[in-house]
Parts: sequence; C-alpha cells; structure tokens
Amino acid sequence: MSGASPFALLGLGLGGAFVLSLLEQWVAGLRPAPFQLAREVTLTLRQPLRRPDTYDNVLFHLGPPLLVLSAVLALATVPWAPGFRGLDFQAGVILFAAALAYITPAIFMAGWGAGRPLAVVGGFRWLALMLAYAMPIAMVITAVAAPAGSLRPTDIVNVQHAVPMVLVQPLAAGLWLPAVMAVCFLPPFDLPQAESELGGGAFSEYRGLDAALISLAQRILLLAVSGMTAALFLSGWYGPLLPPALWMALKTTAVAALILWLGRRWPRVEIDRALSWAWKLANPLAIVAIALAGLVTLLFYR
Amino acid sequence: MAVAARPKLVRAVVVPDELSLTMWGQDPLSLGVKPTIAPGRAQRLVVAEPLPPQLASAFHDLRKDVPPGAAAQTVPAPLPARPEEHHDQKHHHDIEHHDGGHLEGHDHGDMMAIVGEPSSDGLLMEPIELQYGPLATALPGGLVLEVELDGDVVSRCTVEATLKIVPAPAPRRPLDPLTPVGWSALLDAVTEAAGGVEVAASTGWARLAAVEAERALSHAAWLRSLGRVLGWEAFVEQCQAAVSALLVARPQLPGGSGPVLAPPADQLGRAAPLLRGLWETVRDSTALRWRLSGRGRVPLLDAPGLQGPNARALGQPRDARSHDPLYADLRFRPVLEDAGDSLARTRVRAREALQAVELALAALERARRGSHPDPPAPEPTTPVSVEGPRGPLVAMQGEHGLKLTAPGTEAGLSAAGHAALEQEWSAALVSVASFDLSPWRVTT
Repeated sequence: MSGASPFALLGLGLGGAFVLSLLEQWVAGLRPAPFQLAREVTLTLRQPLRRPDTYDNVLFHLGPPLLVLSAVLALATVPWAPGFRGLDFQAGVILFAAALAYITPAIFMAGWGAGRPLAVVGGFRWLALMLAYAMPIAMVITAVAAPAGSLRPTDIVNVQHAVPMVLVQPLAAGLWLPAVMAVCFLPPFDLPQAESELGGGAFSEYRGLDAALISLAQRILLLAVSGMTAALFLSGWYGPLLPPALWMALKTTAVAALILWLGRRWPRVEIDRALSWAWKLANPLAIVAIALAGLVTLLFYR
Repeated sequence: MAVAARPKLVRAVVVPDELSLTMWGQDPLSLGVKPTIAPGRAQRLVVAEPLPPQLASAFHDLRKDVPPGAAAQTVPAPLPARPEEHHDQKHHHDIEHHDGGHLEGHDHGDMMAIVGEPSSDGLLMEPIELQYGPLATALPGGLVLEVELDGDVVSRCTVEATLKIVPAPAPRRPLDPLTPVGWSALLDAVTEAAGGVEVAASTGWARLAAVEAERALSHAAWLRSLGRVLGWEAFVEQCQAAVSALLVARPQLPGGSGPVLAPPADQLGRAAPLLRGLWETVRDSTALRWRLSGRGRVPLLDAPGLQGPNARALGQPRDARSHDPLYADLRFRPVLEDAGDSLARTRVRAREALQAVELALAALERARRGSHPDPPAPEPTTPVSVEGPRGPLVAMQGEHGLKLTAPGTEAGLSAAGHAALEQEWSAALVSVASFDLSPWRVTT
C-alpha cells in the first residue's frame, strides 16, 4: 500500500458510491435526492437477513462480501492522482483484471446459494458472460500497456501526457467499454439480475445487509472501472489548469455518466447475443487490437 | 433540464400491476413512483383497492417481501361487476407452500443435468420448475406462467388468466377492468339494439372516439410494459410521455346510465405527435428488431382462434371495426403485419395506437359537423361487437338474458404458451408479453 491509507481508500469508495448513486438519478432524468437515497439505505439495512430454504447457506452469505472485496481491490489499483493510489504494483493492471475475475465466483455463489430457479439462471448467465468477456479485458489491458512498456497503471498514465490512448487505440477503447459495462452488471448487460426478467436474479433473495453490500459493491465497481478507463484511455490526471486529482475526478465522472447513459439507450442484450458478440467479434478484434498496439508502439513510442 | 423540473420518484411495487393502474386512470408518474417487480428493493407499496379476491393470498405473501419500513399507498380500483369467488384454488395452494409467492420454484437440485437423459457421470437429472405470477412480475397481475426450464431454455409453458368475471352487468360497472370503456360502449350498443333505438349521430361518434382513445391508451401503456421487460429505459420514458398525455384525454365513465363521454379533442391532439414518435421508434429501432424479430412466432395453423392485434400481426384482417359504417366513413383499414412474431405484434400495436388517436380526432370532428352515415337498422337478435384493444367484445341478447364473450382470449393464452417453447427464458418472457394478455376472463 502506498500513497493512500486504507481509510482514504474506504472514504473514496463510500463517498464515490454515494456520488455515483446521485449521478445515476441525474442520468435517469430524476432529481438527485440524497436524503431519499439515505432513507433507501436505512430501509434496506433494517430488513432482517434472509435465510432461504437452500442447502448452501454459506455460499449464499459469502457472495456479497466477496463482491465488495473484489470491488475494493479493483478500486485500490486505480491511479487516482500522483501520490494517491492504493496498491502501486509493478503489475497493477493485471491485479485490476484479477480483482474483476473474483466477481465471477461471487455472483455465481449468490445465484447458486439462493437456490431459486431464476436466481440460479442469473448465476449461470453471469458465468457464461464473464467467461466470454474476461479475455477481451485482459487483451485490451495488454494493448494499452504496450506503449508504456509497463503494466504499472501510473506508467500507462504518464505515457499519455501528450496524447490520450483513446486517440491512439480507439479499437481497444471500443472493446473495453462494453466489457467493463458487462463486468459491472449494468444495463444493457445486467443479465445476472435483470429485474424485469429474473426479478433480481442472482440477487433476488438478498435482504438487509447482504442487499446493501451488493448495491455498494456495484457502485464501487462502477467507480473503479470508470477510474481505470480514465487512467488507461483518457490520460488520467493530465489536463490544463485544474489540479490533477480534479481532472481525474472529472474524467471518472464523465465515464461513469457515459456508462449509465448508454445503459438507458439500449434494451437489455440477450445472453445468446452477448455471448455471440464476445466470442465472434470482441475476442478476434482484441487480437487485432494487440497487433495494432505493437505497430503503434514500434512507430511512435520507441 | 432544471433540477426542480425533474421528478422525484421512489421505487414501488404496484399491485396488481402498472398497466391495470394506468387503465384505471392512475399515472404511476403522478403518484411519484417508479414501478419495480423486485419487492425487496421497493420503498413503497402501491395497492389498487379493492383487490380481486383471487389475488389476496399472493398479495399476503408479497407484503412479507417488501421492506418493513416501506410506505403503503392505496388507490381506488374499479372492481368488476361480480368477480367469481370460486376461482381455481390450485395457485393458492402452490403459493401457500412457499416463502415468497410471486416467483416460485423448486430447489434447483442438479442444475447441470440435461432433462430426460442420464448423463455420463450418473448425476441426477432434474428440470427447473417455475411458477411465474400472479403478482410482482413483468406481466399483468393475475397472469400465471407454469414453466419448466431445461437449463435456461423453456421446455414447457402454460399461461393462465386467473381472474374470472361472471357477466352480471350492473350499469356502468366495468366487466373487464382493463377495457372499461370498450365494455361500456358494447353494453350501450346492445341495449339500444335490443330496444330498437336508433343511435343519435353525436352519440355514435362520441362512443367511437372513446373506444379509440382507450385503445390508444391501452397500447401505449402496453408498449411501456414491454419496454420494462426489455430493460429499455429510454423507450419506457418515451411511452410514459404518451401515456401521461392520453391519461389526461381519457374518456370518462359517468355514473348512472348515461353514455360514455367522448375524450376532449384538444388533449387527444397533444398525444398524437407523441404516439407518432413512438411508432417511428418501433418501426426504425435496430435494437428492437434484434430483440423481437423471429421471437415467439406462431403460425396461423397453430392458433386459428387468435383475434385482435395478435391475429392482425399474422396478416389476418380480423377486426370488428371493418363492418361498422362509422369506421367505413372514416376510411378505416386494419393495420396488418405478416411475420406473426413478437416484433410484428409490437408494430401492429404501436401503429394502431397512432391510428386510434387519428380515428378519434376524425370522429370528434364529424360529431362537431353533425355528419352521420346511414346507420344499420337495429336488430335485437344480431350479436353486437366492439373491437377492444385485445380483440372483439361480443354481446348478444338471447332468451336467457345477455350473453357476453371476448373471443380469442383462450387462443391468445394458448398461443403465448406455445410461443415461449424452446426459447431462452428472457426471449420466452418477451414472447409471452408480446401477446398483451389480459388476466381477466369473461365466462358465461
């Protein structure tokens, strides 16, 4: 841990989740209502935990904390500002992808542990979706790391001080955005919960603290992927006049707003089509993106 | 948009459902709620009272799932003339033995197994059985789906409308709460036919305008429900704008025995451009085509009894309006599609919603001018029919009293069950939803 203390990271996660919830209301055309949001959290927390008639209660209750852990770990790898980052590893972006990978078992455990038909269907959907989208995420990370010659997020930000990566590698950015939307199980990729189809799906049986943890985890995840998108493609904290941290905050907010807005513009993607896109389109294009990244690196970054 | 102009909505479970509430004149938006079907996430419970007795048990279970601090709100509902008390007890029995009631099923057992064949590793084979309904689902409250899933593919599906009405029409009490104006117009017409009364010009046009305004509202509210099933918020908002405008122009059912009142023309006129925009979205949207095209296709041979928009989506010009001289005077032509899939059913309803407002406006203009085509001579023994939003409503005065039917209801339920087969669950649900089924059955 360097730069930021665990408490600062916790504050960032909780505060960021709250702000993103208000942003969600704004993007939905509603009036941001912080007190209503607080009431919603209070109502949720007042609910007693549910113990469904399932034979796997342990898995059921392990899902939400594992989801929060994965989200916080992903958040910790994001380079928020010079000197403010949680885990400044040499292979930080790989750690980010690894943190996202733990979301897969967390949601599957939630769906399976609930033992209800549509919850299980949600869990299986998620498993299939993440198997398909994990590869494009890893390949895009490799593609954007190539010009920096490093897997450290800070180095990737620094290599964009002149030109943001989204202009150099638009294909990689185009593959990254839907993949991280899917990771956050946000519309139009909210397949494991799909309220109107599965009534909450993998999370339908959660009440009280469990439900609050899942809601928190989803927003921290959105914060983490938005922050990492800003870092990998939008020059991170670089920008004129304003302080670096403010630039990063603005870019992160803009990415989060874009993700939320896009989710409202499209109907939910069917699982077969989502898988078809991933295997037949995103994965082959991700290989092309790596090849292009190599070419760009040789031509402009060496 | 200014912050103050934005609405402040809370998530609410609506009982029996959003479509019913709308058809009863309540706009969820004006109630300050955003409907959800996940009770655990609701901050409010909106209940249309009195609730049909058939839903009492499911509602009791649903209440247990809503957070304890969630506020409860009641709105008035026009309960039908005489709901049948001796309804099918089977669903209550099922629900009472589960904790939750609205989305039920058995424990998953061995989910990886393939139904009907032993797997090579000797694992137990077991399908997933699911009861979807009657409350807090994406379908109208009172509809129940009995589904068997093989993995996430529907291998068996039956659709049942659990709310039944025995026709005992008291004046101005709606028979089917989802089509109150249509049934009232029918009762007016059959009463006039039985008495040999010639309808005044203004009454005929006003009745036509009221029935068409109800059709526009029903189709727009149904499109909004479909948007929710698809998880397409932008489309839901577009539909909501049209629904709100149509609710203002909604025809009224007066007390006593007076005729159905015509909708106000200026307010209907404001809804027309919104419905045109909705139709253009449905016609042009690639995303909608991806989701609906080829899904839930029902060949005509498999569902010969289909009526209303579901038949017209199969290219069948079955429409009671085709034989009405008033509609002929308006140069009415039924909207037809020929694919017979979910997209065709959606396109028919979106186009019909716009057409309905245009017809209503033209009828009101004719009434203003006092024009009237030659009315057919009233014949007491001839069945009288009105084309409702879901198909024809038919009444006939016989020796043993009034006989009322809604042809095509059973065929629609059966076709929806067939349409869901061999599809992934979400596609199956969208296919069933695309039939716009009513949970109410008129039984004689």
